[in-house]
Amino acid sequence: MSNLWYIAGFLFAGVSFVFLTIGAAWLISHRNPGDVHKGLPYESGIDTYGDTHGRFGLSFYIYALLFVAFDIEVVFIFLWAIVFRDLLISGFISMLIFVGILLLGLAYAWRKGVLEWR
Amino acid sequence: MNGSDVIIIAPLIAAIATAIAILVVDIVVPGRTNAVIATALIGLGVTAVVTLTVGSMPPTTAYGGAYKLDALTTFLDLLFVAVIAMTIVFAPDYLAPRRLPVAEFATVLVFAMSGAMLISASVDLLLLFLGLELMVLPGYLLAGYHKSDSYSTEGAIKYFLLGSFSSAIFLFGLAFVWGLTGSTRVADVASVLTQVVNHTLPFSPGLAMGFAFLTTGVAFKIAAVPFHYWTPDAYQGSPTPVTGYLSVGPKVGAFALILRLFVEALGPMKAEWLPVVIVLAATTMTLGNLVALTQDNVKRMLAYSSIAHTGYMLVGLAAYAGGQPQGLEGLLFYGAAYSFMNLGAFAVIAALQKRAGVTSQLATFAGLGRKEPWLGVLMTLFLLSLTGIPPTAGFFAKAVIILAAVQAGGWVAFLAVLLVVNAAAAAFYYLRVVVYMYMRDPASDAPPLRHGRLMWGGLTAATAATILFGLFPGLLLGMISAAAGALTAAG
Repeated sequence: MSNLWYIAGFLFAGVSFVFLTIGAAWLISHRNPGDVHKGLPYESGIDTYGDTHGRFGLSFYIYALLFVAFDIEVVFIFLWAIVFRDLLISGFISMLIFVGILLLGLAYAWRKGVLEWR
Repeated sequence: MNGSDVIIIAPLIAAIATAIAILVVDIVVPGRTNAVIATALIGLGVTAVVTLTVGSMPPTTAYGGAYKLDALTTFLDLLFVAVIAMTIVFAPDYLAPRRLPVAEFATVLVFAMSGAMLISASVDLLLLFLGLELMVLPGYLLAGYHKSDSYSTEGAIKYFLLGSFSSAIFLFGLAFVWGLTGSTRVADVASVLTQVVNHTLPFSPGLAMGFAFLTTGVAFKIAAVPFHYWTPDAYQGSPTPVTGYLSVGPKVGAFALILRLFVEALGPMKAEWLPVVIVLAATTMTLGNLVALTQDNVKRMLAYSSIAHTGYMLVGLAAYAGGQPQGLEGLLFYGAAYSFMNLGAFAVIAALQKRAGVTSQLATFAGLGRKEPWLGVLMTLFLLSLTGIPPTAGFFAKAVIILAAVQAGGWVAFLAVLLVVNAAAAAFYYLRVVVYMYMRDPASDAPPLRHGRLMWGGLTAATAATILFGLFPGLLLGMISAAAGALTAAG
């Protein structure tokens, strides 16, 4: 039975957390409607200009994908470099295979004409 | 990492090498479908041989006990290889007329296979999750493979949103179980849970919540009612060969996850999760069949029927939890039989849709028995097997599960009764397609299509499996009982 109380307590804590934070913000924040800057979207402190609903070229997503691939590569290579002394030849071969597979991905993207700006 | 670890995971390496080889072939000789398919089939053949070779070694573990090689791993790996090989063989007839590339299709499929293979071998919670994601992410991609088709995109987005949502829930559950048992290793989790069952450790509410999240996440993946909403739209919208794969690959993969997680890790608590599985199985098979009755689109009908088949497989799991280890054999046999017959049925639909613009409505099948006799006969065979009529694999699969469930007794025996009733109801909508094929006049006068040699080869393989496993179930049962034995010995 006490188990059910735990779950009920957990639920209550989870739900009340949301309302407590919103309520606290509502209580603490001060409202003076005269300040026009408060209604503006926050943009590093500079007043926004132009339409905020800017449009991006969809072709950016492939660059983003390639970036992620090589970003992850960096994550692994940093760690690998730190422990390289302990791994030596087996570590070197492993990393060679890993980078080779990634390069193959780049070659694929290249061959498919993804890297040409359209 | 050492040498023996690399040998133990050789099947995985072979799978990934196959996927990469397909890409390389596509880079070197772009647009050559035959070269791509040949590479894929050779690679999959090598993977199967490597799996068998490695599988003949005594059971062992690699990477500090995170990766396990046993009879279950070998059986499931071979099943996945067969499923992927057949999907690749069926695809070109559908993809080529719609100008969809075959090479990327094959690569993505083989990558998905590597994920499924990782699941079947993982005995570590984190690795299980990694394998699950590796298996389902390519699935999202494939569902939206027909980019210019709005149904395909819609299905893919629904599949992606609900799939990633359920993955998050599943991961949350894993975090709970890890936090409260102190380990991600399946064996350690099982030993802690044994202590909980023996009351040497308390059953904390957090653990209960963890189980609830895990069950929900897995139920999403196998499309059990009430977590099935994504299935019909994702299945109907996807290109037909993809639908065939989605209804088989990720489902069997998710059942592999259930075997490793619920049977092996949460096995000591099976008395606790048995009621949940009973309710899930009962609602899943009943609702899946009831809704399938009213569908006039064959792909959508097969989507709902695949939900029903999930329910039948869950009965096998319930029978195991009810004290009958044969329930697991039933589950595995059903998974294998279902893979071949369902892929076969989808292959026939894909073959019919070779002519662009042909829908999967029931009307497409009108008069098929006269227009293309062979396709009609094969479709009839697959549908009879899905219904569960002897001497097909589907019959034997149902028989094993029902037997185990009856022997388990109690509420599980009630499930067996429900299964029989459901199978009878399902006969109505399966046989309706047969009626359309043989008793209706063709809707159009279009001449019959010529189908590729690959398509016929794949259909022959699916037919052979469906009939052989029905007539001589012993061919498969040896492997299956070894696989189930490996699981129950560990659990």
